[in-house]
Amino acid sequence: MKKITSVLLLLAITSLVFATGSKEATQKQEGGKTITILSVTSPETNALKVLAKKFKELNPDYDVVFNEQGRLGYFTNVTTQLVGGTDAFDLIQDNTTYMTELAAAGTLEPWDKYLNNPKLTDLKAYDLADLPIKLTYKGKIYCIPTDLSSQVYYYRKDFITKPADTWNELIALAKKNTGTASTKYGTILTAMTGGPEAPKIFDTVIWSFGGDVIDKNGKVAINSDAVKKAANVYRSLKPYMPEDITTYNYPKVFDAMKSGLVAQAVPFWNAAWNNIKLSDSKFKDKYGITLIPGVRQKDGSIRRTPQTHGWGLVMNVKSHNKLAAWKFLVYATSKEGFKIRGKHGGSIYRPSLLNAPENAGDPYFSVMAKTYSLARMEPLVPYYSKMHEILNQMVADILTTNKPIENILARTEKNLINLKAKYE
Amino acid sequence: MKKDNTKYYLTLPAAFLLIGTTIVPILYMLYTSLFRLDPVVFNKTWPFVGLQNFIDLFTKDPMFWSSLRRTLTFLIYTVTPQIFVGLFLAALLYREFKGKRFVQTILLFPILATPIVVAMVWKYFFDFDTGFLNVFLQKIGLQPQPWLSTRGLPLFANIPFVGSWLVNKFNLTYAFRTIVFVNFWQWTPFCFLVLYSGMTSLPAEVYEAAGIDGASGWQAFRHITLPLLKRIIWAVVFIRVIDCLKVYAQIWVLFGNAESTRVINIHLYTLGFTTSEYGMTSALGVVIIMLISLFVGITIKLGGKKDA
Repeated sequence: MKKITSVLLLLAITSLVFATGSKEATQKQEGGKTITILSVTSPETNALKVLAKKFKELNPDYDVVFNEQGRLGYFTNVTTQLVGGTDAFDLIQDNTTYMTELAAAGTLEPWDKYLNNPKLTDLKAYDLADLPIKLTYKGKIYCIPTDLSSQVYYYRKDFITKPADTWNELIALAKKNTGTASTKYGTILTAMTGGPEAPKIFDTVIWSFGGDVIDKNGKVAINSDAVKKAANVYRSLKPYMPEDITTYNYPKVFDAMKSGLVAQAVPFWNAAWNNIKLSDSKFKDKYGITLIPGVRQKDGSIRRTPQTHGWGLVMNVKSHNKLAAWKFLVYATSKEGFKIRGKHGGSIYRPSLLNAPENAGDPYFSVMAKTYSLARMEPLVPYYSKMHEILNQMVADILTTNKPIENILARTEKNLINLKAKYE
Repeated sequence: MKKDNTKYYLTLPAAFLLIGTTIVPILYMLYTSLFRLDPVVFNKTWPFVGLQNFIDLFTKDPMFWSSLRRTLTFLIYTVTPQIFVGLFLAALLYREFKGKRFVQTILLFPILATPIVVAMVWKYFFDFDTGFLNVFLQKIGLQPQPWLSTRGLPLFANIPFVGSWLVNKFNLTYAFRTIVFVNFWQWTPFCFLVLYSGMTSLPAEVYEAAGIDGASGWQAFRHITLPLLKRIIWAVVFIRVIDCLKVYAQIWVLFGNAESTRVINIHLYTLGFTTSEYGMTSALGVVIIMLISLFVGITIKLGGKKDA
């Protein structure tokens, strides 16, 4: 009897331990009308939420549910969820630069068959030609961004009357405005080690000198005169920026702008314009916005090369609600969708809207129209995050050590060549 | 008499759980370390690469050796002062004085906080422009310090010819000093607590006899307290070594995966979740387990020898 009791007790305990995880809590139905979006806490998501509300008003049968997560570890989470084969999300908000890796892993649904089906998409009204950036991999479209980010130049117009056109002019202005009665730092940029921002901002400077990380032929080109010049710009700006510049990411640079610590923030993300205007900063009306500096060419023109990347929604290949998800995607990237999101902190990049007469009075729209026309994306490679890891080390070395730039670039070149070889 | 095995059956669920959450994942990690595994091939056939992930880790990973060296440096920089200061505090508070209980309570506060909260608070304290420390330094007429900067400490960095080498080899940067300090601040009280408890359990007769023989306070400490505390000191060293080898949260909150503060666990996370090299990550996981086992073995052996 005692033995039977103990065996029963054992079974009960074991069942208790394992029973809770034995079945999926929710079973998704094929062809449902509830669209679940994995999203990150950001101004772009806030704008998307406003759009989703409007979408639900127009389509009362549909529901849009946001599963929002903080920025820290978000991209990691997206990768592990998708690679792990989750069907918990129909759409995932992601940065365009990470999408190639996910498309190569077969975790994303291509858009082509939905776009080319007249029953699902009115291509004329959608105006595909008005959407200059499409994320493609092996000839298939995987995303049209809802938001584009690029870099512009913020300066304190109350004491900088003529913003810099070139990097050398920027260095001079930074020197002049460091430690003055008005501002503590002459200039600032995002250089946080470990994040995606430092390499992207540095790309902007590299490209303006005609250099590249990986050239058009797919060759590692980091150890070049152009990149040396870009590194020298960083070293020259160093004395006029915060000592702990490698801890500055978007929020920290933005806080420095808000609190009036800096005379210039450049190259810095365009999202800051709306954010500072909506903030309670007493300096919010003291910032001017213009194109980032560049390198003067022999013909007198300035080569400016802002880097751009997008935020967009990708469709989970495992989604059970693909048609509903597509309906929302088309709405989110339509002209109407851009207008609604643009009013609530989202970015507008459709040229037809940027150049619309009603936006003519706001300098932001003309600067962004010009910026997007000059902007470049980083190479969309499946080893993108690993490449960034190497470039992050390089930027940190340039900004925080006295190591000769030649040595830093030689080490970076060697690491990039090793990385590339692994994927060839 | 028939043997009653009920107690063994009752341990089975716990044993299954333990095996399922430790042994099975370790074996699986060992298995996955033999494949090329990243998001691109994850849902396809995994290419078998044998020991190539280990070879790549040792020969091609630009951060493996530096993060390993940094981990060992961190271990030495943190555990050594924690033990000495912990011992000093224990000896100091062993004596009776007014307000002793209050001081003891205050000393234990850091252990009560979670490491992430501690790191967050210190991060705000150390901020260059708005941090309490720099505001305080400026109030008393001193220069603010870039506590969170990855710059070399001027004392070492400015030494001609060898300054840069010293900074690189011995991690003599502001950032590294900051992570060492935060760990020291939080865990020295733990060393104090254990060593103090050990001291209070030592036999009073020995001290009385030493007093009668005319031994000074220092002599009693040197020749009685230390030898009798050896077991406990080694236990504290053992716990702190393991803790420091698996340090993660504090450094992550303070500096993320910045190169200058990247210890082996931060590198493991970066490989696994930032660059998604799952096969390499498993190989690194295996190496870390072996390293921890080695260190634990050395600590136990050294502790045992001293005791004998």
